[in-house]
Amino acid sequence: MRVLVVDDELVLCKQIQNAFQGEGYAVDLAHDGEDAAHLGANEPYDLIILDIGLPKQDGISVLKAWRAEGLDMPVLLLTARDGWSERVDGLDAGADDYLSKPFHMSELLARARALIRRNKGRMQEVFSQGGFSFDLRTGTATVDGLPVKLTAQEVAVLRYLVHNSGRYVTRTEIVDHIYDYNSDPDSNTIAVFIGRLRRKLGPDVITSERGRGYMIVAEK
Amino acid sequence: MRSIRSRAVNLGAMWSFAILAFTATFLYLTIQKQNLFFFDEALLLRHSQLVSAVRSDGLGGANRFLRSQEYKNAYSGFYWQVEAQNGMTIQSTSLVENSLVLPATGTGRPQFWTGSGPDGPFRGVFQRVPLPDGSTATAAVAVSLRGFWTEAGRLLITMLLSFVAIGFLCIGGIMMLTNTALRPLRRLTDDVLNRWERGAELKASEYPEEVTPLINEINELMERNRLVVERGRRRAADLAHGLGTPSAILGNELDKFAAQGVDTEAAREALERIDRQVKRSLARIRAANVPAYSLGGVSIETSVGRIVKLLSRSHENAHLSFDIQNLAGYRASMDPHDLEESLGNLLENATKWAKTTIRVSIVTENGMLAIRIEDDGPGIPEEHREDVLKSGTRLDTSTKGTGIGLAITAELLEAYGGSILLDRSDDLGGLCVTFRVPGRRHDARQSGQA
Repeated sequence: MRVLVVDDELVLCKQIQNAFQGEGYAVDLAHDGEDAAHLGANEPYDLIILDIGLPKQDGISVLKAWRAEGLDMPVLLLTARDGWSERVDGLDAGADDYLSKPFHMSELLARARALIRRNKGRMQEVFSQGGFSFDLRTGTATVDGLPVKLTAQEVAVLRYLVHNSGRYVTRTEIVDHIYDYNSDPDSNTIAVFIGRLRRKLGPDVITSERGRGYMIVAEK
Repeated sequence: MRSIRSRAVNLGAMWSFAILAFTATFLYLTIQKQNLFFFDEALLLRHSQLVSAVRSDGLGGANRFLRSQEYKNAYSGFYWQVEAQNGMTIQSTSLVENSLVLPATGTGRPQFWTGSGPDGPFRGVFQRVPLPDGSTATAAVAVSLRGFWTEAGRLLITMLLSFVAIGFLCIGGIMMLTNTALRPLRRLTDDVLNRWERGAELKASEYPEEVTPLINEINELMERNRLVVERGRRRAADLAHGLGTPSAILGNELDKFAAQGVDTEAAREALERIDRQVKRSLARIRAANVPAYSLGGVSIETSVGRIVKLLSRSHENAHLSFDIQNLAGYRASMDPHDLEESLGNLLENATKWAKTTIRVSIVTENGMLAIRIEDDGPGIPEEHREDVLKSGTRLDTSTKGTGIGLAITAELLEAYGGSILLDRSDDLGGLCVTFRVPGRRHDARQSGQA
């Protein structure tokens, strides 16, 4: 899952980035409205955390521009102004959630997870399919009740596939959603991660079809 | 200080009274003088008839007047008397046994005198007249002033009644004039009082030029008030922004240390205390910077709709239904942000406790709007109701929140002259929060424009 964090306070950005990276997210940072507008419109983010008070262009107008262009990624507004009117205005502008500063990082992470889950049409935090289950909160997988040890990249790939269960996703799409802007990944590495995941989870959890990509069958 | 109206009417009435009193006196005295002149002319005519009779026929000539009816009847008010040089006196029978007491023997010219006769005061004229026998006699004629003073009294009463009527007409005129002159000032007062509805600044062209400087001053004061409030609120927002981000950074650092096994509980508690204090102070700054007017008042229906829409989006409130009664046309004389702040805090509080239903209704009470938010939750026991309006009091710590929402709302409403009352909901059984805010219900046409 790839997240864009937009805030003019560099230290706070870094803290959010670390927290999200710790959970297996790929995180890009932007510190002003113009950069945010550009990145949001051109990169396939699964979530954008957007501060309202930004230099160059304020968060609300950036958000309105995205929505006007038909971009529907979930956006969580972050602001120090926590009045009810500002909250309603933010949500009217197209935000999906609102969190006021100061906040607890655990709450931000929980809301981010919920927004991504809801956006993908999922209601549950734990995905189960046959003997395989995956906890989206902790990034832990079990097969027939036994825990499976996964690397950070494997969790990232698996999380993306689980969120998009029931449809084929290409290697390029996975790359776009598990690596941040500054990485220089090779889509062949995805085949390596998939191979490792199949070995750890069993060959039937992830199916593939030539030309269409990989898929985890949706929950029944 | 007394009103302009009563001062103008009092001063006008006093001035009118003075003018009317002076005019009435002057007129009465002039008419009386004129009447006396005619009285004297008639008296002289009577006297000249007596004088010419005596002059041509001696004392015997005067006897002709004995036959005249008006000199014949006792105390008729018309008298004559002739005193010869030798002491012989003849007089009209109307004097009965009295006689006219002359002030002197008289000269060759008629002289007037006023005296007291048998039927009260009279006015007379006397003159020394040569008789055909070469001697002289004093011939006098007197007429009672009784009729003259009776007429004067009638004149006085007529004049008094007329001038009192004129006085009342003058006071009526003054009142009409004052009302007309004060109408623009009354309109100005209404416009200033209803500035919440007017919204826009007062137009100097709509008032007389005498009050134009006042209009300009009021507009400038209102504008200055708006700027001061705006500046105050902007500073509060900047402060919130300036403190919120560093506080978030500090909190995150503490969490990091806590994850490494460092005991950060005391520091975390202190930071949360700072956050609460900042939130409360910002709310106080907000309450201290309540605007004197806003653009046309704010629709309660719209504000409630916005907050309910926001709360309905939360999954935590998926089980709740909002029963919004008819709020159409009600407009609060408040800053829209402040109204939404109050509604937001109170409705959010209701969502924390309600089981299934939250009801919002409104009534007009003593010129204020009473907005009622009821829920079907457990309510608050009577003995605790006052406590929850105090800062930081939370009766139940199992729900989220700092416990300052209700206190902030109460303070904000007080700044607008409003109030907040906690009670038990008769219908739903839970808490019933009634908060009063300044405002009114506009008719359908006005609310349609809103």
